Amino acid sequence: MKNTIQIKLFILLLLTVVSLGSCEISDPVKPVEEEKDPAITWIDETMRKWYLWEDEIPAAEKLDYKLGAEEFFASLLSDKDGKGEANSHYYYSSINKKQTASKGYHGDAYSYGFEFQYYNLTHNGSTLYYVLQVLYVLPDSPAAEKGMKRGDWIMQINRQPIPGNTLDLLNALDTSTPTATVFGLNDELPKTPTAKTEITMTPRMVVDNPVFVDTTFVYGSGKHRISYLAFNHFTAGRSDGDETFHNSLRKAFAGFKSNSPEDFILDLRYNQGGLVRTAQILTTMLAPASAMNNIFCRFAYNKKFQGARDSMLLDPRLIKDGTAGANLDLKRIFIITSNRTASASEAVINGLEPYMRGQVILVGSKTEGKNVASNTFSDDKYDWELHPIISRISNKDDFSDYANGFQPAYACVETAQDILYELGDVREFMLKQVLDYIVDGKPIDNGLRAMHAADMPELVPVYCSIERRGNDLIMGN
Amino acid sequence: MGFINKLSTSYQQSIDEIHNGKPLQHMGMLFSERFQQLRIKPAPFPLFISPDKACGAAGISWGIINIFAHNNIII
Repeated sequence: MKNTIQIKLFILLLLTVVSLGSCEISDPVKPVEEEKDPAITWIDETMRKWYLWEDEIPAAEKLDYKLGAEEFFASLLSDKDGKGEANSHYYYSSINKKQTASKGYHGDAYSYGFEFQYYNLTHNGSTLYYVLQVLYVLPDSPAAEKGMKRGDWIMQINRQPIPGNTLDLLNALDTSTPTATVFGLNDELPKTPTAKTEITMTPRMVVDNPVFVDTTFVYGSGKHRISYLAFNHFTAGRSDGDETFHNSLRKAFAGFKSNSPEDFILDLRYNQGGLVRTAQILTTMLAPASAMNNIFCRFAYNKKFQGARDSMLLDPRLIKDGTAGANLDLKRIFIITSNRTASASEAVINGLEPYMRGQVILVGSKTEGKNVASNTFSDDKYDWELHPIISRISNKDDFSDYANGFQPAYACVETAQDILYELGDVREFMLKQVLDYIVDGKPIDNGLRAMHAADMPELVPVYCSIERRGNDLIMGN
Repeated sequence: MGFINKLSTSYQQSIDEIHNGKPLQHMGMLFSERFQQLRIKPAPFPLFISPDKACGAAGISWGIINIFAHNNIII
């Protein structure tokens, strides 16, 4: 009984203490410090460890830890990350929700199977109408089955004019559900956005193999053997761990090797980059044999890792005889570029230059100038994936000063051609310029003749569908 | 041909600034400001996900301290 009373007294005392403690905690004079969202803390810590410009991340007291993940991530980024001025700046680093990470990128994705350039057609500064031009059509896709061709003009979607802004256009082209869509086509630009033909397509899973064209031409009166590869992105395969596309690339090079090419044309005009190890394999197969086991690229990380020297080699172990790849031992290469050519494409250009010295000959437009690389960070506890820029990439000579892009040796654009022939067709404008230059020394036409007439309609580029690979980027300001 | 058989384009202003016939050089940007605004965004290619694989594992090394795996580096 005595014990029972003592226990009751003890509980009473305990409750009193807890109660008093509670009063103290809720005292308005001493505000409660809110707990940080663990995901925000994880983003903060990961970026401070890995971000290339980690020394420019604002101090903790200047950050708002109550922001959402995307806004908080954006608040950490440096102006050195990405391109553009204040009103048009875009960052290379990105963040996305896990479930959307690989959607629409590579491998099996819902798609109509064509890529396009979106234009505003203007005359004397006024919009006539908006229009899409097909850049290429993926094999075994709905677009290929319906006969859509490179160069086709898409005048209407579901019998409506092409929308006047990118967001509405992408909504009209939504491929997230298998809904039939009617495309109104024309083979030329009329005064009004009318269609000559209509095709109806339903998006479905389409494989986007980056080895788009691989062939060897016997060209000109001298029967010059010129191999040609149109390579559209740097991707290993259809999913994580799959090497299907790497093996396609190796097989293509085995085919080139069997044809003993005297020259090589690498078409990267639609290639915005991807995996650096894909670039390593490609460069290994292109480079002079004497370059094997030498540096392909070097990585420089943030100051926390400044003692680390890190590199990748031109590694013959990545290729084998037969159908598993081949080194072509090239002494010169022609590379077709555009202003879309970026990142891993530029790493190939930069990686080859020390071994070819002026014989990496660019034909096209100046490239993007992305000399930094990212990696993906995730944690099972959080819904987010981070893709911060973590390193600057350079070549054997430690050259990485191409943030302003690689200048072409020969300017050339396809934009204003009356007909866009298929990639790999010897009549295709940019390819033909290079072929004729190689075999006859014919000067390269920049494709801009007859463009100076004042009273001409003008095609103003608005958006290109291959940008969707970058659509998770956070836009600045 | 249709209504428009020779098109003027916004590329013209930029392409005019490219020095035709010059050997490959690592030169600075010559493109017009207008063209910069039209320029596309490059790809971050957020795929091939692996939780913090970047640290620890060794990629292909060549007698150089190699603290990062290269398998997932995107450029």
